[in-house]
Amino acid sequence: MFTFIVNHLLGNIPTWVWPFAAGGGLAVFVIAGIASHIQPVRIYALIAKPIAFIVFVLGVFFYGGAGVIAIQQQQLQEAQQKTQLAEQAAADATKQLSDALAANEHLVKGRGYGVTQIITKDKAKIDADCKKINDDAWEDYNRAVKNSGSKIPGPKK
Amino acid sequence: MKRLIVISLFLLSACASNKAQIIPNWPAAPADLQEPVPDLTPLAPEQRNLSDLIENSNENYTQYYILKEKFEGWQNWYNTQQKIWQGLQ
Repeated sequence: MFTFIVNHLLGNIPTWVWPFAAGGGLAVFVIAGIASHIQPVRIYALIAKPIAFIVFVLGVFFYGGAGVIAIQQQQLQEAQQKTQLAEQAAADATKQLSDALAANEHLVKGRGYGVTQIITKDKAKIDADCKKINDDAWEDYNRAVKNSGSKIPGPKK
Repeated sequence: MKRLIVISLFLLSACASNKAQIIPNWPAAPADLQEPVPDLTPLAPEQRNLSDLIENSNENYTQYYILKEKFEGWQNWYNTQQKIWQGLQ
């Protein structure tokens, strides 16, 4: 509640009011101190003195609070700028990586295609020595491909 | 004197402040890195030649190299973002 009231006052009353209040309060406090020795106005001075003191204290308090808020707002602005820069840097890095990934993937696929071409060219020579792979070899190969411990149903009938 | 100390403490309460902090949006990773991972291709029952096996191996090795690129991409992306994030602290 206290914080809410302080923030509400600081947010709605111009900052210049607080040093004026503090200065005015102090001036009235000093004047009331002197006036309390003058008999005709003594009663007014005695009433004004604590009020002026409270106004002075509140003025100093809220002026300090306004200063803190100004510092906080400046920090907030700096943090916002820093965050914007960081978000931009992050987006740029992501885009750069995405482009590099696409290029590398294209390269890998291209190399794979190159190897396929060579295999196709050498197909007759490769198959000349081994026309048909062994059924167990087929099963074991597929087991490795599927990373499976269990038996893969093979081509055996 | 006692009153002055109490008043000073009261005045100091206005100085209590929280450091301004903004949490940036965590960026989305590149779409390429978020694609589902395909399985390796097994030999089809009719593929019984050695050249079929070599071709299939080539296909799977290509798949591996693509995934390697993606995995390194993830590491690279994470390290870069972490450096940017730490720069904000």
